[in-house]
Amino acid sequence: MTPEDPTIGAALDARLAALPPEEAPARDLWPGILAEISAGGAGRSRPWLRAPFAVAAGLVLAVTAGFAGWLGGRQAGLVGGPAAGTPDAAMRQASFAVPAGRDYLETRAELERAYRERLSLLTPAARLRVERDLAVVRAANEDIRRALAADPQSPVLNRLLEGIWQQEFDLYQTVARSTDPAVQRNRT
Amino acid sequence: MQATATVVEFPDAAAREAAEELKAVKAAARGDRRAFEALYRAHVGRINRLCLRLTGSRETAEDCVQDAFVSAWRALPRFEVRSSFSTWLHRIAVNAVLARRRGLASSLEITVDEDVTALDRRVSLDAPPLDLEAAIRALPTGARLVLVLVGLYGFSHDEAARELGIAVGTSKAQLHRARALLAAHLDLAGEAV
Repeated sequence: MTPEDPTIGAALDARLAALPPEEAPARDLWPGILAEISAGGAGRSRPWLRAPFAVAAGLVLAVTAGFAGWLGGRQAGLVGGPAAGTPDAAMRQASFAVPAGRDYLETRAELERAYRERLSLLTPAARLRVERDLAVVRAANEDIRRALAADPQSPVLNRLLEGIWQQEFDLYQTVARSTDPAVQRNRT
Repeated sequence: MQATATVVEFPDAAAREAAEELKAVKAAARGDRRAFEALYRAHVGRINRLCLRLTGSRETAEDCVQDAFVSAWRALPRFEVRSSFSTWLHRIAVNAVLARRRGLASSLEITVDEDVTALDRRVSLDAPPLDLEAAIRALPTGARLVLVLVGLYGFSHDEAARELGIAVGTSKAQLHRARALLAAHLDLAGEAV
């Protein structure tokens, strides 16, 4: 029984030719690819850096986008609570292209404080989801910072860090936007 | 009449499709991410299938697909439009799989402990006996890689040997071995009678 036998060889070739040429991956890989090409731009990055950070960055994109959509659909489920004296302006205006310096750190601390207060306005399920997503973002942040300690001048890592920070702020803003109606209701 | 119309229209449709793709390739090469996403959507199924066949693992295949598209994005400015984007992308995917394998320090050469019963043992564990894709996945690594490149994707033995870092003779031996294992597993002798 060998494929050298013309009949057997032809039968095997026919089977091979009939195999389907396509199979979609089980998950959409585009968010991870987009995260990596957005962070890396042109040129090659180091393979040892790419794999873990691509996964982290892709995950961050996916969870943040997923959370935003999910939360949007759950606005009606917000739990009313005590009026929160939050620095709304800071939460709405937060956007930092280059995170550095004392001003940045102070604003970030203020944002985090506001975010914690706003969390109480979410349903328990929403709160759990936000906290889980934020944990992913922060874990990615830590990974990149560790790598940056070894290679502080890496433009790829610096862009990745910038992107991750933006993701974190986007998450804060999503929480702010989603809880605005509840805050307004509580104030009136 | 209908059959004639189909024959006449097909080349136009194919040409239109090729022109659209070329436009997307050029736009992506200039940094247009939406155009690149369109290319990703159009090709991801084929590239995933290729990576799956080469790696034998869905999870690893997805990592390789991602690597391949990221590499393609970076290499797009150097893409020469006279060649097929699909062929070019397949080459990049093969390189992505092999780069990952090299990172794992895996050997592609025939090893003495990979006997001809390996396929039967592995297939019987986790796949229906006549699932050809599962049988390919269960082939010994060296045989699988050569079968996929030469037997399924039209690489010459010279090209496959170069890509895999093996001798041309080894590539031929691996292909023969893969085909023999598959023929035996599928019981094609019985079928041919």
